[in-house]
Amino acid sequence: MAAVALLATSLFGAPGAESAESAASSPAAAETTENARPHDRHTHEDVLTLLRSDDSVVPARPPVHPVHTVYNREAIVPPMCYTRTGGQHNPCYVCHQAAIPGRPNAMDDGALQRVYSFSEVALRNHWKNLFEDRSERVAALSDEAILDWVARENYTGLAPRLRAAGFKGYVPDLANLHLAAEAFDAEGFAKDGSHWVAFRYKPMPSTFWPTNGATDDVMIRLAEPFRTDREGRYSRDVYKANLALVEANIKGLREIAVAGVDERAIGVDLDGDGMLGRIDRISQTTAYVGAAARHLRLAHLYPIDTEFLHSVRYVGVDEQGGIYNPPRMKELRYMRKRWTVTVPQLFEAYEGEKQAKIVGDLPGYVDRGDYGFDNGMGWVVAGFIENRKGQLRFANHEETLFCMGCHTSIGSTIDNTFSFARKIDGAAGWGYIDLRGMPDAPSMGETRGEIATYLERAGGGGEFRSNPEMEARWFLRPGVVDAEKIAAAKDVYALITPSRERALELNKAYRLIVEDQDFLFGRDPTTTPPINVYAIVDNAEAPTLPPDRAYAWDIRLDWSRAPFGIDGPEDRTARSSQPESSQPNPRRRDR
Amino acid sequence: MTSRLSSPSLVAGAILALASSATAGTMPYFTPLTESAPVTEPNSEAELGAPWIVPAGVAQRNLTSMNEIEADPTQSISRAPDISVPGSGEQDVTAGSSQSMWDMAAFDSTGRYVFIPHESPWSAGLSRYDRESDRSELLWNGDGQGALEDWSNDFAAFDPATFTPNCTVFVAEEWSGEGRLIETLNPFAPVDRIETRELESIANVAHEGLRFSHDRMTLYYIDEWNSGSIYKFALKTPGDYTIGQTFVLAVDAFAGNPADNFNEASNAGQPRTGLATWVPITDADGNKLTTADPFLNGPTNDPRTNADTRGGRPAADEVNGTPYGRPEDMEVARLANGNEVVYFTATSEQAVYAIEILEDEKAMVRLFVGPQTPKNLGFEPTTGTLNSPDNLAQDALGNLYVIEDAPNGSSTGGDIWFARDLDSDGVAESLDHFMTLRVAGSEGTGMIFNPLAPTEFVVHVQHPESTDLDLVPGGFGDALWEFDIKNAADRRTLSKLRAANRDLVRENKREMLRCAQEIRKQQRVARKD
Repeated sequence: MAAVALLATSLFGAPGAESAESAASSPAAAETTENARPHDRHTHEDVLTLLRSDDSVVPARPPVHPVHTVYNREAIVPPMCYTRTGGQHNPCYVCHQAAIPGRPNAMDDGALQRVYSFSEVALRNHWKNLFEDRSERVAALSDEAILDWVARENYTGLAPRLRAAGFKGYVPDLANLHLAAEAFDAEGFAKDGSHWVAFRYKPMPSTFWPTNGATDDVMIRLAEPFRTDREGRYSRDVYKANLALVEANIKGLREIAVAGVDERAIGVDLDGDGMLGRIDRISQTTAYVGAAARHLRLAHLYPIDTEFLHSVRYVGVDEQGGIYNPPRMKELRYMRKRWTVTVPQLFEAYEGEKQAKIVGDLPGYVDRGDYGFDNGMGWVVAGFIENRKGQLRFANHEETLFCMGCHTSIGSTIDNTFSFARKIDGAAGWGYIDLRGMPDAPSMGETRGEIATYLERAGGGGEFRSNPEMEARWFLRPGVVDAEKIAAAKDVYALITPSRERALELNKAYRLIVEDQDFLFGRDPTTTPPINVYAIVDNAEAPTLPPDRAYAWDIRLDWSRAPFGIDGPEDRTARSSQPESSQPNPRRRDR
Repeated sequence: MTSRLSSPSLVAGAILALASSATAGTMPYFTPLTESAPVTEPNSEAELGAPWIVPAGVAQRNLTSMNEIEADPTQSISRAPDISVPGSGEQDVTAGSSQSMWDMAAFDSTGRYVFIPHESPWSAGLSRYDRESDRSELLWNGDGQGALEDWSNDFAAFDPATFTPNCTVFVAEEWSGEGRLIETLNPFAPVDRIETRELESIANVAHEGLRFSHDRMTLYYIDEWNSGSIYKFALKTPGDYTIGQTFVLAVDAFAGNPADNFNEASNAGQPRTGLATWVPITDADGNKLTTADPFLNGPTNDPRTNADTRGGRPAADEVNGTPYGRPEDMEVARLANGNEVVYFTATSEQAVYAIEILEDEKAMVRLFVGPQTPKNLGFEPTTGTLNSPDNLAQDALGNLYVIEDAPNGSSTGGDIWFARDLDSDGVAESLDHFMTLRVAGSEGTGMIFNPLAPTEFVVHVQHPESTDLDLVPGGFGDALWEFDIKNAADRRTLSKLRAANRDLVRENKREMLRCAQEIRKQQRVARKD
């Protein structure tokens, strides 16, 4: 860190040079004194200059409050929000949803499916990387070079570099994560004893589909009391039971399947059969067990100190053209539930979000330095992203600001998170993610496969309707899906992974963004500018969607209605868990 | 920090920080600022030494801070603790930088004490800062179990504090808790003798503004909500806050849906200014006249979709209470025609309204300040804009000050604006940029003038990032700052200000003396102990 500070000082002068006296007069009066207004002398260009010249794991930054060097004060509005819906296509529904009774998410932003409602700053699409034509640069990168790049891991060096820098935030502590499934046992538990547990989930529509640019995995870790018995000894049975109980709480399940949990190690009759024994189902889902037995359980909220680790990777391509999670990570994202906020606090926080939109306040969060951004709803969000050499480094202020919209102020999430609510229910959902054999389960309250539904509603293979391969594979003609073909698809893998050629092109395009280090202009791996994107939005004039093109949607999946079991088309077994309500979603307005 | 007590002595008289009778709005006595301040790093020199950019002639100094109080074991302040489920042995809930939340300060009638309400999400309470001894004491707070949804002995989100004509202090719950108003009956007593009561006579709403009328027979208040109404409580007996009639303000021409938000389609274009009527929701003894019970304790939520909403809100909807965009603070003053006027901010509307009180439960509502109000009229322009007007303050001349709720994480801090209404007609001619805050993550709250030293006022810096000691070890935290405008260039206006304050003191002399006696009585008890 000392080296970092030195660099910053030499480039920009000593921080804190502002004198107390300057406060006694109007800022305008002080304008003539350059030293009194350091915030005016630094812009995002200075940030970029530093990123392009500094390979530190915690890059230097200009010596002003980082909010002054933000290029896009609306970075929380992601690129896909600028898609042209053309008055008929709706990829927006997976984020923007009306409030669901009983859930603490009170954002209630379903109306944003139909209309553009940007602040003045956000009217201009700041994600200018979308509009960059990288055709020539992509063509100049050989397949061999990108395959070699993607195959080289950049994870193991991160932790020692962070420690050497005196980094105070989260230091990755999951051994061999770059090896993907090999880092975990059959039940998803990290082999290194770090207590991270991988789970199998269906990726959020579009953004996290490999065909649109990235593979990923997500791990959860509960706090120590959730892993130990009442005497404070580690107990895998306690941990498995609590993981299941957290899952049931987030999803609102009355009961949930587990794999061989021994009630005798826990001392609680979890399946309600009047005996203590080895069980495959928990029907007591109202309280945690072990040392966490008395911990606060708030419906649809994670307990304090729950952590998520999310690696976003390039699209791996094996020798047979198969798609897999390769060693190289684009990003490593981390969230920790630092505070359990109460329901009134959350309500007020969501009211604050709405209030800010009404009065036109630009979004702002407390930047907790090495710990990441505080979303004001209990979570701290941090991330690591590649430097120009491909080493992972701490994501800077604006790069983290980018994360905050989705993890704060959209209506579809449960406790500001996505993937865990989309986990395969129960015991079958523990283990490293594998799209092969995973059925296209419908969203809760629906009957048709979620991916099939999304393709139809979005009118393309992603938000921008600019994935020609998906369109060629799953559409009869523009905007009309080939329902029969989709229904016949073997699994999720078949539906959302790209060809070798597309995968390599996506990887190359992203590699160039890494080289440029201009993530603040966007990180979508596009080669040519997508057509269906606004450069400037006119809130009043842009075509809006008619009411029958807006959809109520639940982020949870109904695995019991999947066309086949989670072990692939041959698996015809019944699914495992019982939702609190298996009634169709009453808000659903299917066309 | 050693404090200098600049207030005149008690024998010179004392006034209540209640309502100005002056009607002489003035030009700004300062040269307005031209921009909002850029925020600085937490615990920066700016935060510790001069958090506000102020015009020439305005001095600022720190009175106290979380850091100062917590470093002194003989002082106390409220910091909402981590709360555990009984028996868990682990922290389950933590309030982070919202642990203390100093909100709308109240001076006592002598100007010696500043009462600090805590807007924390649980364990809310009231602290008393003594400017003479530079000491803070936490008078009382809740047991923290509200964090676990048990409000029987806990309180939350005390936004307003108001010193009353009975020499007591009101605080009330805003965005959490149950919408209750709590009165501290002997606020000068030793901590172990402090007595409080819940005023069941006041409707449960999301409280913020609480101000008495000039004749002390009416308490005005608001419901902070995007379909929020304006209320008044008419005392049945002078000085008895426990019995009275509650009314809600309804603009006569409003034909929208009172339960909908002010900006929903049903209400867009509906008049919310003009002639209005105070519609009763109780009789003179406080018995409800509506189906909804105005005194129902409950959460602040939408009564259209919830049955447990605190009662004042659905009751107001029943009688067509006009919805405003998140009403917040209020002030009571007089217009040039001598009529009483109630100003209130409407944060979501970026506006301040003026309610002129007429006879026979009628009123006239005007837009006092809106987005179109000129800025710095006749002075160098400012790039600052009026964002989220939240608190109000008033000097002895009746000039109104509008304090913004600065958005957290903004590149600039919140501002304080001087609302220029030279003809005192309830419509401001200009908003003049008075002060601007540069503490990251904070907002200015609790601006209030010293009742005996009319050139002095205090303001809190609330919930700065430095309150969270995990984030900023040794952080300065919420802080109380004092300002003095006595060196402002416009000596003539300052003279008028002092003269107006002398008039106020004369006008309220009997009441002030009663309070002064009460203070002495409660302090005698302390000395005997």
